[in-house]
Amino acid sequence: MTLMQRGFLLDPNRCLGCRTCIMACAANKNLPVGIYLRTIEKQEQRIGNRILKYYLSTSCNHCNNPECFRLCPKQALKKRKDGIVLHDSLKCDGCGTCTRSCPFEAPVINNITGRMIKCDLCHDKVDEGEDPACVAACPVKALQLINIDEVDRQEDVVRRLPGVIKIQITRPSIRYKRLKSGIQVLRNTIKEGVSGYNSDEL
Amino acid sequence: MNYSELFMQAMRELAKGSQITELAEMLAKQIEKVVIITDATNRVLAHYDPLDTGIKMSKFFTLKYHIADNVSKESDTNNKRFYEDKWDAEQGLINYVYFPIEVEGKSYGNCIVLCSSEEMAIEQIKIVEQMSLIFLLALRERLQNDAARERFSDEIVYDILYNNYDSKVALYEKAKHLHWDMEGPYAIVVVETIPDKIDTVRKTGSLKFNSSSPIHTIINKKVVFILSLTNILSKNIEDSINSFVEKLLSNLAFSHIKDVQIGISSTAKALTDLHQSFQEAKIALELGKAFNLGQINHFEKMGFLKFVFTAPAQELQEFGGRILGNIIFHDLELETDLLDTLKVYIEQQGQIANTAKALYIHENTLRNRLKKIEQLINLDLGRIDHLVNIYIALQIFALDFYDGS
Amino acid sequence: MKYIYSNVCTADCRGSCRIKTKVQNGKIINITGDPIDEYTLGSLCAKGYAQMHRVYSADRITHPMKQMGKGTGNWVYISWEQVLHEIALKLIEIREKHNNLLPVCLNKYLGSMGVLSRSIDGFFNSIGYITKMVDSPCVTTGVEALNFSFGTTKKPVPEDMANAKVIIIWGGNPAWTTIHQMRYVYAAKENGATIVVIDPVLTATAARSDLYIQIKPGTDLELALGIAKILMEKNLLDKDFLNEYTHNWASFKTLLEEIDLSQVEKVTEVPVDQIRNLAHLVGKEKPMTLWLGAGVQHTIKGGHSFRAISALSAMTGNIGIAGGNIHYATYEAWEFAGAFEALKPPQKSSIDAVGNQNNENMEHRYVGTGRHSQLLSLKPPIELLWVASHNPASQAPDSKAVKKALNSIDMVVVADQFLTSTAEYADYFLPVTTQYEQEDIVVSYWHYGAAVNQKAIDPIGESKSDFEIMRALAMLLNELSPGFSSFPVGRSASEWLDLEMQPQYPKLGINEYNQLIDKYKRVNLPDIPWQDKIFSTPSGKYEFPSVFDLDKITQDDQYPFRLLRERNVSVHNSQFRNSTCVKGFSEKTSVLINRQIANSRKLEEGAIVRLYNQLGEIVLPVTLSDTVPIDVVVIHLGCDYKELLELNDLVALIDTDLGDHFSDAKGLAFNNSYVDFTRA
Repeated sequence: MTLMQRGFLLDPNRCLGCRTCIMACAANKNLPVGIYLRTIEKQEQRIGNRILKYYLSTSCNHCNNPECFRLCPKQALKKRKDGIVLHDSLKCDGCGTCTRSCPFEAPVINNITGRMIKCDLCHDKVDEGEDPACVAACPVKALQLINIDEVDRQEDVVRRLPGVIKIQITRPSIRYKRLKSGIQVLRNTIKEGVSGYNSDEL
Repeated sequence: MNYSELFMQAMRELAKGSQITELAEMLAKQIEKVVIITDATNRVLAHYDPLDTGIKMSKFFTLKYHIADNVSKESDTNNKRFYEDKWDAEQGLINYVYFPIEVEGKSYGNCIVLCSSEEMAIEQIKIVEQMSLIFLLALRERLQNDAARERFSDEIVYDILYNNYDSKVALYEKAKHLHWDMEGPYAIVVVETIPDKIDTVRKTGSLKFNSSSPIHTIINKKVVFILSLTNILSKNIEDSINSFVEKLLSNLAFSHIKDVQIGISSTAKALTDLHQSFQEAKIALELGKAFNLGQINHFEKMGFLKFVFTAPAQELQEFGGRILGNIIFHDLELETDLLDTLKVYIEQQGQIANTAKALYIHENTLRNRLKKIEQLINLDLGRIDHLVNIYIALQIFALDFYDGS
Repeated sequence: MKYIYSNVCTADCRGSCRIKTKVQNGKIINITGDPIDEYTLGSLCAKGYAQMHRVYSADRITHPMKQMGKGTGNWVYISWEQVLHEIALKLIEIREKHNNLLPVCLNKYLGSMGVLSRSIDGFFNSIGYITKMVDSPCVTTGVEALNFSFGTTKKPVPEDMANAKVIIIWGGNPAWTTIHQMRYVYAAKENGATIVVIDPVLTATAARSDLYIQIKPGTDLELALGIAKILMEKNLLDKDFLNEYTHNWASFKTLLEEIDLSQVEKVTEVPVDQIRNLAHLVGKEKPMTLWLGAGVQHTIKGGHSFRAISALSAMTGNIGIAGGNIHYATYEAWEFAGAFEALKPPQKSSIDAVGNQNNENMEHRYVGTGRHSQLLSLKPPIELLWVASHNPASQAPDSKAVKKALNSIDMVVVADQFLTSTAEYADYFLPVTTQYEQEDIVVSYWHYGAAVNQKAIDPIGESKSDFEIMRALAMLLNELSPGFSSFPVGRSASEWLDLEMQPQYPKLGINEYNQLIDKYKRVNLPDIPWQDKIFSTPSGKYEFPSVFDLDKITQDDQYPFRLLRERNVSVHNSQFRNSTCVKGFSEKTSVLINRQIANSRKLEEGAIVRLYNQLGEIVLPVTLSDTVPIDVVVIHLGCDYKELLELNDLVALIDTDLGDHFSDAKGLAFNNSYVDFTRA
C-alpha cells in the first residue's frame, strides 16, 4: 500500500535558533500568549577539543506509533493517509493524558480553551499545496516539508543528531541533514593562575 | 474434443468470465483425472474429481520440490514441463504430477493432476500445458482483482486502525464492508521482517484462526493481523494467539524467513479499541527490539519499560546523565570501560564470577572496577533502590543507541 | 469586515521588516510579514510577530501619569491638558529665569526609526537653544574610524555579501541580530565561500562558521595588525590599489614592520599559524568582505581596531569591488529634507524687559550620549529633561549614575509605551503610540527600502504619537506665551512626511510617498561603494592610519573576568524585555560561565550568583557553558527575570578612542568591564 508520510526535514547547519518559526506558527494560528506549538532547543556539547553547538526546531513529529493517539481516552486523535496526526478539539476534554505521554512534549493545553492543541502540520495549507507557516517563515529555509520515504534514500539525511536522545519507539516523522562542523580555534581551556581555579580540582 | 478445440472453448469461457473452478472442471472432465489448481502460496483454488474418487482436499496442497516462491526456473519450462511426486493423503500415497503456472520467473500457481507420469498420455500433457496458459491468465486476473480488493481493504483497515473516520456508524459501515465480526474482542499481531519479504509474510499469515481468516494488511512495512477472539475463553486467549504466532513462524521458517520480530497487543474489547491495540502491538515490537527482549513480545508483559520510554526525551537524557554521567566522562577522558563493565554486571544478575568471565578479567579487577564505579556515581550497587535507577539509566542509554533498525 | 494595512517595524534594526496587519472591528487580529519585502521575503523575526501583543499588552501605559515623588512608584492619573500645562509652565519659567533654554535637555534616540520622530528634535529647535544629548551610543566609534580611512561611511547592499569568496564576521552575531542577512551568508557558502567568525565567544553565528577564531576580548587591533603584517611579508597585496588609491601606505608599512608576531600571539591568544591562515584567507581569496558588528568598536581601542581591520581590505584591493567592502553602517539612505531639523526659534527681540541686549545663546549645547552625570555639573544646570524614544537608565553605561542624575533633575518627562527603568525617576509619563496607531515612514539604513507605515488602528487609550505630543505642546505654549514656539502647528503629519521625503522622491522614482504603498522601492544608492575609487578624505584616497597607541592597558587585577553580553534573540535592547509573549521561549536571563571555572568554584547549573565589580552588582542564575573561555562571562538578558536587571550597573562610563572629531563625543566602551562572582 503506498501511503505517504509527511514530515519535517530540519537542516541544523542552517538553523539559527532565532525562534521565528515559533512565532510565525503562533501568529498563523492566533495562539494565546505563552502557548507555543514549536520549541527551539540549544544543543551544546564539548567533544574533545571541539564544541558542537546547534539548534533543534521541533514540533509534533506526527509519529507512526503516536502515544497520544494510543492513550487518548476520548479517541480524539487520528492519523490521516498522509501521515498527519490530527486532533479533534471537539472531542477533547483537556484531561492532559497526551501531554504526559508524548516523548517530545508536543501536545500542550491551550489555557484559553482548556483543550489540547498541537502542531497539525498546517494541514489546511498543505492541502492547498502551500508550506506550513513555520517552513514559510524561516529566514534561512532551515525547515522543509518532506515526504519521509523519499528523503530516507538520501545520503545526507539522518534520523538522529549527535548528543540527542531521540526516541525512535514512536517512529517520529522527522529527519535531519547531517551535521557538519567547521574548524574551531579555541583559546587554551586550562590555564594556571586564574583566580579561584586549581588544576588539581579537575 | 481435441486439445485445440478445448483450448478455444476454454478461452471463450474465460472471456465470458468463467472462474478457475469451472475451468478446472472442464479440464478434469476432459482428461478424466482429478485436477487441482493452487496459487503461488500453495492454496487450493479449485479442484474437480471427475471420477468421484472421494478424495478429501484440504486448504493447501504443498508441493515439496518446486516450492511456491522459488522463482528462478525459467529454463525448466523448456526442459521439464511437469514434475512428479507422491502425496501422503488420508487414503495413502497418491501419485501426482504438477505443471508450474509461471511466466518470466514469476509463479502464479500450479496445475496438479492426480496420476503418475506414465498415466499421462502425450495428448493429455499437451492439453494440460495449454490449459495452464488459460489458468495463467485467470490467475493473473484474479491476482489483480485481489490486489485491487486488497488495496481497497487496506485503506479501510488503515482508516479503522488510525481512527480516521468520522463517527462510530461510519466505522461499523467500513467494518461490515470487510465482513468483520462486529462483536469482537480482538487482538492484533504485528510482524516485522526484511522489507523484501513482507508480502510473503502477509500471504503466509492467512492461516485459520478461530475458524476464520484474520484481517491482514501492511502498514509502514509491517504486517498487521487482526485476530477475532469471539467465543474464546479469556484464559485461553494467550495460548491461542501464541499457537497462531508459532504456526506463522514455522511456516515462515519453511520459506527461509527467520529474521522476524513480533509484537502482540492486549485484548481489544470492541472495534473502537482497535486503534489502541494496534499501537500496543507496535510498541511491544519496538521495545522488544530496543531492549533485546526476544522475538515475540506481548504488550501486557512489557513492565515498567513502557513508562520509561514515554517520558519526555529531555528528562530521560537528563536522568541518564545524572546517574551515569560521571562514568561516561571517566571512560571518555581516561579511556576506561566502566560503563560496559556495569552493563555486563547487571546483565549477569550481579554475579561476580559470571561477570568476570564475560569480561575476560580477573575477579579482583572486577571488584576494583565496581568500587570505582560506585565512587564515581555515588551509588551503592548493593542497594535495590539504587540499582533500580542504575538499571533504568542503562536502559535509557540502550535506547539512545537504538535507531529503529 | 477585515482590513489589511501595510506597516513597518520601527525598531532600530537592520531589518526594518515590512508587515501586513489584519484589522477587524478596529482591533489588530493578526500580523504577518509582507512578501513584497525583498530583503525579508515576507518573514519577520520572533519579536516582530510579538508586536501585536505588545500593542495590547496589559503593561502598556495608555494615559498620562504624574509620579508623586521620583522613585516612589506613586503614579497618579493626569489629563493631557493638565500635564502639558505643567510642562509648558516649566518651560516658560525656565526661560524667564535664565533668559535662555539651556536648562532644557533633550535625550532622544532610536526607539522608533520613523521619520516623524524627528518632530521631537523639531519641536525643541522651535522653542530655543537647548542642551542636547547627541551622537549614537551604537556606532559612533566605528563610523569615525571609517570616516578617517574613507572620508565617509559607505557600504554595499546586503545582497552583495553573497558574492564574496571569504566573509569575515568580526565582533558581530548576525545569526541573532540580523537573521535575514544569514540567507546571503549561506548563499555565499553554497557557492564555495569560507565563512570566518572572529569573536571572544562561540556565538550562534560562530557555530555555523567554517572557521571560528576565539580571540581574547579587546585585542582586535593587535590581531588585525598581525594579519596585516603577514599580508605585507607574504606580498599578498594589491599593489595597484595601494599605489594609486591609498595615502600613507609607507608609514603604515613601517608600523607593520615593527609588529612582533609572537607578541601578537601572546596578546590575542590566537596561535601564529592561525593568524597566518587568516592572512592567507584575506589575501589569496578574492573577493573578501567584512561584516563589522558593533562589538569591536565598543572597546577602548575600538576605533583604531576598525581602522586596522579596514586596512586589510585596502591592502588586498577588496574595496570598490563586488563581494568586497565593509558591511557596517551608512547614513546615506537618510538624506531627508531636514524640515524638522531646520526649525529655528522665533525671532525674538534680544532686548529684555529692562532694555538691555540679551546675551541669548544662538547655539545648542551638546553633551555626549550616555553622560548623564555631566548634566548635573553644567552651568546653568538642567532643570527639565525630556526623554523620548530612549531608555538611558537601562542602555547608558553606569545605570546608577544615570538614575542619580534623573533623580536630581527638577523635572523629568518620559514619553514611552511602558514604564521603563528611566520612567522610574520621571515626574511625568506621556503615553506614546506604537507604529500601528499612527502614519509614518521608515527608510532602512541597511537595505535602503522605503516603506509607508499606515495607521491601522486608533491610538490605544489616550496615547498620542510623539509628533502629536510635540504639536500639542507647541500650541499650548503659544497660548500661554505667544510666540514661544515656531513649530508649524497647522501642518499635518502627512504634510510633514511629504516635506521630509522631498529629496528622497527622485531617488525612489516617485513624487508622493503614498506611491510606496504596495510597492517595493529602495533609495537608489550604488550597490557597491567606492567603485570609482574616489574617496572623501582630504587626500581623495584611502588613508592608512599613522599612529597607533598600543599601550592602553586594561586588565583589572581585582576583577578577573571580562564581562560581555550576547544579544538575546527574543529581546531588542530593553524593548520586549517585559514581553510575556516571547518569554516562554526566550533564552533565560543568566550569566554564562565557563564550565571548568564553575566546577572549580563549585557552582552548579542554575546556581544564583552575585556578579560584582567596583561599580555595583547584579544577582542572577548561572549557566554552565563551553562556549565561553575561562576569563570571560557572558550575560544573557531575557524576559523572565522578576526584577528587571540592569546589566549596566556593572558597566562604567568609559570613552573609546574615537568619536569626537566628526561627532561631539567619543564613543562608549560598553565591552570594557571586568567582574567577579560568588554564590549569592
